[in-house]
Formats: sequence, C-alpha cells, structure tokens
Amino acid sequence: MSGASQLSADAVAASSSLPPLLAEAERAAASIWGVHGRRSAGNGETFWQYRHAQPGDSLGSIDWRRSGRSDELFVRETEWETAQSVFLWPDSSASMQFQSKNVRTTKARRAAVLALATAVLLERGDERFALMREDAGRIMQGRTGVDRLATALSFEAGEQPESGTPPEVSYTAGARGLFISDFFGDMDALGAALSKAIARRVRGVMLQVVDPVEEAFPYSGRVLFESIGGGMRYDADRAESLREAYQKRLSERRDALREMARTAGWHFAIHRTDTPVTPALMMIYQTLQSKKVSG
Amino acid sequence: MIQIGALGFATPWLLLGLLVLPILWWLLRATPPAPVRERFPGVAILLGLEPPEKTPDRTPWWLLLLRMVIAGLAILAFAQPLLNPRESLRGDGPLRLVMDGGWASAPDWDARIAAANDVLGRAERAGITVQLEILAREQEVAREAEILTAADARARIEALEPAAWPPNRFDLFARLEADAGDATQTVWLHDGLDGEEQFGPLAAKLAEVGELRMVGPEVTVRAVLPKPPEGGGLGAQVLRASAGAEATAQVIGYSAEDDGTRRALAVAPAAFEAGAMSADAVFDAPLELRNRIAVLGIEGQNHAGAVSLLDDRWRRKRVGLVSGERPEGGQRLLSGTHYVRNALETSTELREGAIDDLLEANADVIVLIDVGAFPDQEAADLLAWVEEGGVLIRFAGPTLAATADEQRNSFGAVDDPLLPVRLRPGGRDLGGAMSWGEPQKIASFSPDSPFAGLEAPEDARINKQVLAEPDIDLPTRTWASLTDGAPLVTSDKRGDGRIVLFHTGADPRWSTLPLSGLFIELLDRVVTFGVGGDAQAGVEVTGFWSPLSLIGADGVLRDAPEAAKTIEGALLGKAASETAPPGLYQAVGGAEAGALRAHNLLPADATLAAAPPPPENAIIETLGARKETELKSWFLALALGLLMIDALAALALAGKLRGAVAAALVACLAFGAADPALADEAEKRAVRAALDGSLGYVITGDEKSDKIAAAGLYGLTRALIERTSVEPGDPKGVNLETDELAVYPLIYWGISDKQPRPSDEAIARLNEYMRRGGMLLLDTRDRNLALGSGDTPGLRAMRRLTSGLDLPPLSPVPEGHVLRRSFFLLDEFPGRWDGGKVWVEAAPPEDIEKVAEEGAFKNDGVSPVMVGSHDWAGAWAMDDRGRRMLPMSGRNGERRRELALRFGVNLVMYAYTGSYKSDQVHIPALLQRLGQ
Repeated sequence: MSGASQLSADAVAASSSLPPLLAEAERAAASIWGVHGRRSAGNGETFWQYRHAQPGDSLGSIDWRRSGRSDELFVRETEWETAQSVFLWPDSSASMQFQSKNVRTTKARRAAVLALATAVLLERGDERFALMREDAGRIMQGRTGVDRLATALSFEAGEQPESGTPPEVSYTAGARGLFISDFFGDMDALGAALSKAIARRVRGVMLQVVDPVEEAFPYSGRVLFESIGGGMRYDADRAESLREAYQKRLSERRDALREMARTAGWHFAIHRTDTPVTPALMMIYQTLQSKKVSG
Repeated sequence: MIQIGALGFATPWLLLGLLVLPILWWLLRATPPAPVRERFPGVAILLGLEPPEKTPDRTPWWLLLLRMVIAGLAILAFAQPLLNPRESLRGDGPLRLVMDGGWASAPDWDARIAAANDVLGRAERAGITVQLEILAREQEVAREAEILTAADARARIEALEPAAWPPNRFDLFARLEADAGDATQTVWLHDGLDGEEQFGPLAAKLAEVGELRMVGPEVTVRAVLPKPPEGGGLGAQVLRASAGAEATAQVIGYSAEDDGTRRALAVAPAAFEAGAMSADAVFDAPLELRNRIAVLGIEGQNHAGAVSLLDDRWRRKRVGLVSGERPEGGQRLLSGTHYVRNALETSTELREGAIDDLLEANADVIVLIDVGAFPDQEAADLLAWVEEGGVLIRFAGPTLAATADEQRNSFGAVDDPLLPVRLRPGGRDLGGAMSWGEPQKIASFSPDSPFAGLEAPEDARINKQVLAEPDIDLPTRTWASLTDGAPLVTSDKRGDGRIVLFHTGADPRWSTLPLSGLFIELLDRVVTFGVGGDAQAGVEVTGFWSPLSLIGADGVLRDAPEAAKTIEGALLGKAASETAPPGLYQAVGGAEAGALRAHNLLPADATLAAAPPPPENAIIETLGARKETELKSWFLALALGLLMIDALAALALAGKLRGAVAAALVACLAFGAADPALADEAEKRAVRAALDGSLGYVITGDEKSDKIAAAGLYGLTRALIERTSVEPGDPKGVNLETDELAVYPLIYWGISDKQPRPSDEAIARLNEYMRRGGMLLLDTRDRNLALGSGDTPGLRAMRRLTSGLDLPPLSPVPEGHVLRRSFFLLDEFPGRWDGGKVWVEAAPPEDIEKVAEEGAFKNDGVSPVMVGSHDWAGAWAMDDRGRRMLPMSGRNGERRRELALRFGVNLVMYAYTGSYKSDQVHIPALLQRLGQ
C-alpha cells in the first residue's frame, strides 16, 4: 500500500473511531455540570491580574516592578488553579482488552472513556492534561488538546504487554495523576512508578477497572485459563473449587493497592465495567479538584 | 484372503490391528476430556494458586465406545473388506469355461456374458489360458478343445448369441470321459434346467476332473406348450422347472400376419397351483379367432421356450364328408352336403371323397350324410378308425332309414356297430298329410349334454326322423331330444373315438334344423367335443422337411437362412436340437409334400426339470447375485460419519456446541427439504405443460441428444405457431420416472444407447399413456430401420429401452393413412435422413372387424406409437435465435427439411385430431349443411 493511501485509510479509521470515543466521553462529561474553570484569583502559576494593595497584604506580595511605574502599590495575583496539569494513564495493555459475555465494553475502552471525559471536564476549566505514554507525555490544553487526546486514545497501540505499569514521564511538580488500570500486573513496578510521582509532589487517583466476571469467577469444570495475551496459563481441573481462593486473593490485592495509595497520598477506587461511567467520573473529578488528595 | 460369511478381507493381516483396541481403550480412558479454554485476565491472580482438589473428569464410556468403534472400522476398512469376494483363480493350469448357451440362457444372456467376462478377467489376472466350451454349439465350435488366451476367449464370447435349442451336455461328458484334458478348474454357467438328465453326470464329471464352480440363474425360465383342453378347443400348458408357490402366467395367442408381424388375439391365464410344475390355460375365444392363432407366447418372456408354434394340426380338424344322398339334379339347397359343408368350412379343413381316401388322409372327423350300408371291409376299417380316436358323425336320411329296415334282426331292431343306438325300423313322420302329430320342436338341452348352454330355436321343427329302440342306456346316450322326448342326437363311445347320430337329415326336407343357426353350433360342438386329446400322438412323421422360418433365441420367428439344412421328419416329433432347431418346416416331397409342420422346442409331453443338486465339492454361485463389492470406502465413510458425531459429542462435552448444532440442523433441513421441492417442481412443470399444450421429449440422459431433441421440438413448435392454429408452449423435457405424461399430446423419444432402461413403473406409465390416447414418436436416428430383420445399434438400443412396452403390431405407414394428409399432403416423411420406413400401428384387416368392435383396437384406430429412424429432431432443430442447428445431408437438403417440418405439423395434427380427417362418414351431412 502506498504512503498516500495508507494515510487516507488511517484518516478514515481515525475519523470513524474518533467521534464515538469522544462523543461517549462528552456525553459522560455533560452529565457533570456546574463544574467549570474558576476564573478567579488564587494559588496558581498563571498571571491573573494586578490589584491595589490593601491593608493586610504582606509586603512580599507587592509587585514592586508594577508599583514603581506609579504612585500606588500593586499586588500581582495569579489565577486560582486546582492542579496545574493532570497526567492521565488509561491502561491499554492486553489484560485490559478483556470483555466478558454480558458486558458491553472492554476494560480498556472504559478506561479511555474515563480519561477522555476527565480531559473534557478539565478543558472546560481551562486546565491542562497529559497522556502518559512512552511516546507522548506532552502537556495538552484546550479543545485541540482534547481532540489530540481522543485521537491518541483511539489508535490502538500495537503489541501490548500482558499488563501495564504507568510509563515514566517527567511530571510537572505538583501536578495531578489519574491511573486507570486493572492493576493485575506487578505490584512492585506499580509501587516504583507511584514513588516517582510522589517525588514530584504528584497526587491523584488510582482507579481499578474490573470486569464483573473477574469478581464473580463463574467458572466450573475443567477449564484452561489463558491470559489475554496468551502468555500465562492456568489449568484448573475443577474451576468451581477455585472460586473462593481467587476471590480471597483478589481482595488481598485490592487491600494492598489501597494501602499503597494511602501511603502515597493517592485515592484508590474500584470501577466495574457493567456500572455507569458517571459516578466514577464524578469521583475522579472531585478528587482531582480538591486541594488535597488523599487516599 | 479371509472370509467370514459373505465378507472377505483382501489384506487380512491388517486385522491384527484390532488387537490394539484394548490398549487404545486404556489410553483413552486415562486421558481426561479436553478442557474448556477460557480467556481470563485474572490468570495473573490465579498463578501460583494451589488447587484444593484435583479430580479430572473421565471421558464418558459411550464416547469411549464410539471412538473404539471408529478405530475398529478404520482398521477393518484398511484390511480391504469385500462383500461376496471372488476367490482369485488358481494359476496352475488352464481354465475351462463351460457355457450352456441354450434357449434357457437367453433371458439373462447379458448377465451371463458379464459373468463370463468377469471370469475371463480373473483368468487374465491369474495369467492362465482358457478352454471355451459352448454346449449348445457343439457343431459350430471346433470339437477339439482349443486353448485360447483370455482376450481371444472374450472376443469369442462377445460374438456369441444364445441358441434356440437346449445345450448338448452329453458330448462334453463323452469327451471328458475319453480324455480329462489338462484344465484344472472349471466355471460352468448353466441354465438350471436338467435336459435329458445329462446335467448330473456332467456336473459330477467336471467336479471329478478339477475344481468346479457352477454359476446358475436365480429363477429358471418357463416354457409353453400347446395342449388342447379336455373336450377340445385351444389350450396351452405352461411349464416351470421348480415347484414353487402359486403363480399365474399369461399365455398370449398371436396371429401370424403375412407381413411377418404378429398380433395378439387372445389371452389365457395359466395358474400354477402351489407345488405344481405345470399349469394349463384355455383360450376362451370364438372359433374363428382361435383358428387364427398361430403362435403361443408367455407374456413378458422372450426366449425360444416361451414361444410355441401351432401348425394346421392344432387349428383345424380334418373333417371328411361322405354323402350317400342321391343327386338332386343340381338343387344345392336340397342337399345335406351343402349345409354341412357350409357349417364346417370355416372352422375345419374339409375334404370330400370316398371313405377309404378320408381314412388314408388321417381325417379327425368323418361326417356321413345319409349313408346306409358299407362294404364289410370298409365298415371294419371305419370302426377301427373310430376306436383309435376318430369321430364319426352320421346324419339320417332315406337311405339310412331304408337300410335300417333291411337290417332288422331277430329282435326287430337294427344293431349296427356304426350307430350309437339301435334304430327302430320305419322311422317317424310328423305333421305330414298322413300323420296325426304336429312337427316337433327341439327340447331345451340338458345340462349333462355337450350342447348345454345352447338355445333351441323356436322355429326349428322336425318333420321326420328315425327312432331309437328304447333301451336302458338310451337316456345317457341322448344328447338332444325333441319336446316329446324322442331322441334327436345320440352318441356312444367306441374305443377312443365316438359315434354321433343325428336322427334327422342334414337337408331341410326332414326338418328345418339345417336352416337354423343352431345347426352350425351343434356341429361345432360335436367336432370340438369329439376330438379330444392329441390327435397327432403316435403318428410317425416321415420324409424330409426344410425349415421355412426359425424361432430365434429371443422367441421371434424369422425367415430361415438360405443355409438352413433340411432334416429328417423323424426329428420333428422330438425335442429341438442343434440339428433340428425349432421353427416352421415344410415337407419336401413324399406323401405330405407341401404340408407345414411346426417344430417346437419341447415335444408335446415334455416337462421342465430343475437341475439335480450339484456335486458336493462344487462351488455354487447365483448368476448376477454374487457381485464382488469393495466395502473399504463404505467402512471409511461410516468411520468418518462417526468421527463427526464424535466431534459433535466432544464439542457438546466442552460446552461449545451451539453454533455447530445450528449448522448441523441447517444441513439436515436442507437435505430434508430437497425432495419435496423436487416433487413440487415436477408438478409445476406438468401444470405448465398442460396449460400450454407443450410437446414433450424424453430426457435420455445423453446430453447431446437431449439438447437436439429440445431444439428440434422448439423448431417444430415455431413452425406450428407460424403455420397452424396450434400454439404449443416451449417444449418440455420429460423424465419418464417422475413426470406426469398425460399432459403431453406428443412425446418424442430420440433413442440413445446411453440411456439406461427405464424402470418397470416408467414403462407401465408409458403403456398407460399410449393406452389413454397419448402418442409416442420413437426415433432411432440411425437412418435405416427395418423391423423384424436387420440389426442396427439404434434398433438394439430401442429394443432394450422399450422392452416391456406394450407396442401394438406395426406396419409401414400405408397409402392413404391419415398421417399423410392431416394437414399437408405428404408422400414421404424424411428427417435428416431420407428413405427408410415409418412404422405405425398396423391397420386392422377388414375381415376381423368384429375384433375391432370387441375393443382390441383402442384409440379409434389412431396409432399410439410411431417408429422411425430419420432423426426428425435433428432436421427440426433450431436454436433460440431461429437458426437451424444441424446440416441436412445430400442434395435438396433444405427441401427435405421443409418436408420434415411438414411431417412434424402433420404429426401434431394427427396427435390432436386423430382419425378425424379420415372420417368420411360425416361428409354428406356436412355438405348438406353447407348447402343450406
């Protein structure tokens, strides 16, 4: 296939898959109303306005350069910002591609929708976001940023590892993070990634997306379990006898994750793909918005 | 080769594989069923989890069994199972192939040739030579056993025809007796009949000199013999060789027409009782019809034994007429001879002359009209003749009465051995001028009398008669009497013969009886009743006889070839043989010069005997039944089918069956739905054809000829639409097996030798079609057809395809036939080929219109079948762009194509309107109506 036609095929693929994802995200974001940009002075990085100094302002807050041009004292105010940037990591590894029989979406897509919807909400507040990928990590902003994010999420990355860990990116200090994954991977790698974030004062949300089947474990008889990527196998002679042990292990892992998040000052939550998006999105947004994030 | 019952294995050592099955069982049991594969991200969590219990599911026993069966079948299949396996021939010496080749081999001749070819094929594989013995052809085939290669032997056998006489088994026996030869094994294709008790000895001899394999037919043939029933008339005896269950055979009496065809005139059923070897049939038909019957045949059997010729001996009694009347000066109507002659002329062979001459000529019946006294020698001769079975009929008259008066003995009554009763002298005169009584009527006939059932006419009066002396035997000897009880006809046996006396004259002076129709019937009864049994038995045939026509092995009478040999008369009374083949013979010189005599396959008192049980060490096979069948593919197919079931079962166990079940169901439904759909289609086609009046052509299965037939009828349809008011729809192919035939006015059947013979049901439906007014055009398409003689591939194919078809006797289209003028006026009917004849049902001869009235000729004389060889469809053929498809041969080709089309138009008109065009009866009425 020639370059041009490849390009056009990609374009068609992009335009056909972009709207559904974005539309789904927009729809999810639309249900959360009344949250938008602060448009008021506050603790932030960006210049907001100069105002006359008033009694009570500390000397340190007076902008001397501005004040020197006139006879009055001015204070330089920055815009109030919740987080300077939000780093989004929707896991798209192989295990996230799972979708059980009665569920309408894969875990990966649900993660992408949540990440994109979060971005849409952030864009409303003129806030910035970045997609955590090995090849990306650039901070995006505004409507174009949302579109670019949607495009990036719509393109399936090729070969995926069995389970994901947050890739290394250079966090902006004090930024926020949103990790969406099933967290079935290596706990140590996750802990390492988390400590890197904490080192840059990044706080945020760890959202575990699971399929209902992964909680219920409704198998019986002789079952050969295969991981989605095919790399792992488990031969169960009588699957029904494993259910209890599996559920116990799952809740142990969740406890471990919760504990990990708590010590890092992150918030840990669980989302099942057969439940609506909105509550999770609400939780994500409010958590990210609050000045202090904690588990 | 291992054989178990009818099943054999070509590579039996592979059966050792069956020993592996128990191991396989054990292995299969140890292996748990295939797991369900599930994709599950939570594997990561499961990893390292020690399962609390490990009890693998066992494969269910029925699945195990199924798999064992599959494995077993596969092993059996590769051991090359054979049904009815043929042992390969021994390779250590020549093979003697003995074929009966006689008349009883003819019905299944093809099967015999196939069996012989099969044997020769095996001989070829075994690399041995063949010694061929054709028992019915001892004179033709070289006597010294010739050693042939299998290929040469096959060529000989292909050229072999069955003979119309029985095989001669004695010669081979005698030769083997003299020299056993070096053949180590024998295959004998016999016909299952023991002719002249030679079967057993030959079989024993053959088994003695080598390994013997006997191949015989499943059912033996039947044969027919003429046999007059008790009390005269025409009858037949059907013989069978095995005393089986009850069965019925139809014996058909045919006439022999001058043009060599034969026509069925009467049918008589012969019912075998259970266990009976023979069954009698009696033809219950008018005498004239009966006398026309020249050939007897068993329905549905075509071989020499199923045909029996009748010569004059069987048909007409020889009746001698002797008159003692005084000449009446040329007044014929006053002569009794005239009345008797008229009465007997048509039904008997009548001779007049002196008593000596008649006795010399072997008369069956001698009628004496008013003969009184005889010379002593003559009386003695006559009495001797009667006692040997002759029938003497005497009429009273003045002379007889006078003689009776002269010969009164001491008791006052006449005692003449040539009269059935003693006569009272004087006689009796009724209603005359000098008598008191009225002329007497004839009393109704007693049921014991041979005249029972005849009606005595009211107007027949007896004026004068001779009277019988009252006697204690008189009532039993009386066959007919007058209303006052006086005997009119009396009869008595003398030895094997009989004497019948009419107590009145044969002329109308003594009674009006000769003027009534009853007279003829009475004479007829007396003649047929009197001559019972075989009138010819014991008569030596002398002189030399040359064959006029011979019965072929297929039961058809054909002109004898020039080379046919003249034979001695003594051979005629015996069973037919190679020297004296069955047929119609004519005496050459001698006393009987010019006389015709039928020589039938079996002599008059013959029976058919089944072959005796074969020697113990002989191997018995049934002809055609033991066909070696390779079963490998069937075993493998079965194993494959079971394997599919196994796959389904495994899927079901693994919980993955849903889609598979749906697919299987769909497949089943598709198969199930196919048949009704087909039937539906056939019905739809029939409805369309009926509405359109389409012409039909028989689908022969030969693609090329079917295409031409369709195109031909299309061309004809176009011509019809252009030129006539008949507008048929597009022609339809007719499948004889399934399609409704009745909707086609005309069905064209282009004979193709590639077509398999239609089933019996299809033939029956074709018969029904023709009987109900359908028309069948048979076209052999090979340009020369002469029925009865000649043999072309097309004709052979036609014979094969139409065997069993109830075809009427055929004749070439006569001058003035409706077919020549039903639309166009035509002199000839060319197709792609010119010349040759077109055959239609032979027109009924004028003199038997009565037969026509009785319904022998159906369809108002419209021929239900037309047979030709001109390839009409080829001439008519037109493609859908209106172009002619096949070239016409010779000069004036296009002119002939035009004529062919005209013939087609005439034919369709004929099919639709029948004999309407020939119906001249209504012309005056039509003209009159036109005039008004």
